[in-house]
Amino acid sequence: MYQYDAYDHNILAQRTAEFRDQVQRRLDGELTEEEFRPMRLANGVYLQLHAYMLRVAIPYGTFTSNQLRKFAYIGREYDRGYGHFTTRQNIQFNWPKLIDIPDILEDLASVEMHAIQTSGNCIRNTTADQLAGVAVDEVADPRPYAEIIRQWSTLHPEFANLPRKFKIAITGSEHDRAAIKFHDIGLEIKKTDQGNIGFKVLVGGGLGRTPIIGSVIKGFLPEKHLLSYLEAILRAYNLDGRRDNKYKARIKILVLENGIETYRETVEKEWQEILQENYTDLPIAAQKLIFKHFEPPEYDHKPKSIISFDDYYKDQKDFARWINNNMHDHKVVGYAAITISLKPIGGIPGDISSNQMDTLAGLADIYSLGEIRSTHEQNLVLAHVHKDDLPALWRDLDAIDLATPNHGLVSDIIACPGLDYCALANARSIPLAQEISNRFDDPARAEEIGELKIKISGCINACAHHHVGHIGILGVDKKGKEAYQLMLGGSANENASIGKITGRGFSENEIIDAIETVIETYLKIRNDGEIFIDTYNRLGMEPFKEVLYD
Amino acid sequence: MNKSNIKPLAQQIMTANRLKDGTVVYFTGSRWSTEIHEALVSDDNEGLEKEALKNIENEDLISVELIKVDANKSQLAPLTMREKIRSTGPTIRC
Repeated sequence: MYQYDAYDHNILAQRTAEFRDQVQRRLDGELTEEEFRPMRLANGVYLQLHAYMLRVAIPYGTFTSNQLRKFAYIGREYDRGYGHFTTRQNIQFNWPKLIDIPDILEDLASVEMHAIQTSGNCIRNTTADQLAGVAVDEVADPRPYAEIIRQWSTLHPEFANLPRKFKIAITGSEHDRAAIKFHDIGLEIKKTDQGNIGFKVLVGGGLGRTPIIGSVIKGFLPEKHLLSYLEAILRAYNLDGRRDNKYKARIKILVLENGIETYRETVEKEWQEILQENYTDLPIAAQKLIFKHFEPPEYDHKPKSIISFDDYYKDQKDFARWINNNMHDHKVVGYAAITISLKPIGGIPGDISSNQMDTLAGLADIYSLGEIRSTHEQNLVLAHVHKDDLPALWRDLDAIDLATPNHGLVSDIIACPGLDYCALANARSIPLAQEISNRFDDPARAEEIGELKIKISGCINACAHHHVGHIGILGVDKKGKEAYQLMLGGSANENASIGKITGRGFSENEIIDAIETVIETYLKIRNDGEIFIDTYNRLGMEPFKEVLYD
Repeated sequence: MNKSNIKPLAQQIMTANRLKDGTVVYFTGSRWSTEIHEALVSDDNEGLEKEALKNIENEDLISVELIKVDANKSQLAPLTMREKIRSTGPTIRC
């Protein structure tokens, strides 16, 4: 994992001191709210419905057990004993007091974390495949490149005031677990037959009120040109992106309005100019240093547990279920990666208590080299578990209610904070997720349904990616009452698609039955081996519409 | 008899968040309280706003706004779900 150098530490120390001073000046009345607001947003501090919210960046979703312990401490000391993992691999605290936030930032800095660029019209946290470095289908580990992008984009003076926020995602595998087609820039690592590394570069993807699948702007960008090409894309966007209307200010609108061909030409011209400036993409020494942090760990091939995996798998039905649903193959023989579901039946998607965080940090130390990943689906991953340790890990996770065997199933729902917390929301998301989860609480039924992605957003900003849910739900305000639009057929992976609205919306009391109707219909009409999205792609909306609006 | 086209003025209260911790507060007529049932209800929006703004300086408040309420019920009830949740906290946690 990347570790800060003196330069990184110095930046954070300065930044924290600066924000402490800004908070004090605001409290003393030297700064107006209008003056202070952009300062607090630049440090990840939002005002929600009931309180401030602090969003902490987790670069490419990888963090250590010590950092998790610090999250637990912050949750307990300054918040209400929990944290919330978001769809951009970050963690949010929902109840910090403004007067405490400088102290929180100092605590975060002590473990090499911060909240810089988690808000505002700048380049946000670069997200990555949660199985980076261990996935069997991986061309190369995307995290060193994500770290290079992090260093390039952090406090980049030219891109501190873009037309709108800017999000980059990267994957090292063809099977897309990072939703790269729905980011401002999506990067897929490719390798030529000669063994040269480069990137397929997508641009102009996004969700929100105008959902668009990203377009390929460059089929193969050689590795050494990563930063100059990103710089060219950002420069072209910074110059030409609309600033007159915030709803048309994202790069996706620029690409849509000009067409990908024209935008590609503009970027190409910009890029050639940059290259002629003798732009240093990345000094080789620095690149080597960064890659060193991501070298594969030394795997200990001696298990720490004495329980036999095979016996346990045979005898323990719940363990077998957890293995079948939550375990992922690992590129090192004898090891596995495990999804820790933050979707307990009837629970709040993405939430985890401070006590759970503390215990999990200990388990990561024992079983997974002290490292944890967050996923854009609001779960966590232990990426380096010896297979013989899985029974013991499962028992330990089960003891703290973190062994729900539902990864990728009906109750593994993405939900934004919605109207329970968010000042932008029109309707609640979390109670709906809880009701669906309770309705489908039978694990055998969930497995019979198979892979199903349900995503619930409380407003059109689409923080829960509802457009790309197999079943997507959008909360709206209908004459002062919460109502829900239903969408079917979305997908965020390499076969990206945007869901279509079924028809008229549903009231709060109708929506859960409507979802069950859709699922029951799918079970009746699916072919052998199909998951929900396959059946939808084969038959379209009609069979579902017929029963929904009968 | 023809129905009047003039709608009765909506009853409103003033709300805000405290600067130092974000806590939701309501204007009582002389101070800011965390209890919505203590809020001063008025159909004189301008007058209410003026009175409330006079009392802001010492309170360090942000996001100050008028919200519509139904004051005819036994308990003061905001008309929108957003404000109902703001007054009681998240419906999923205490």
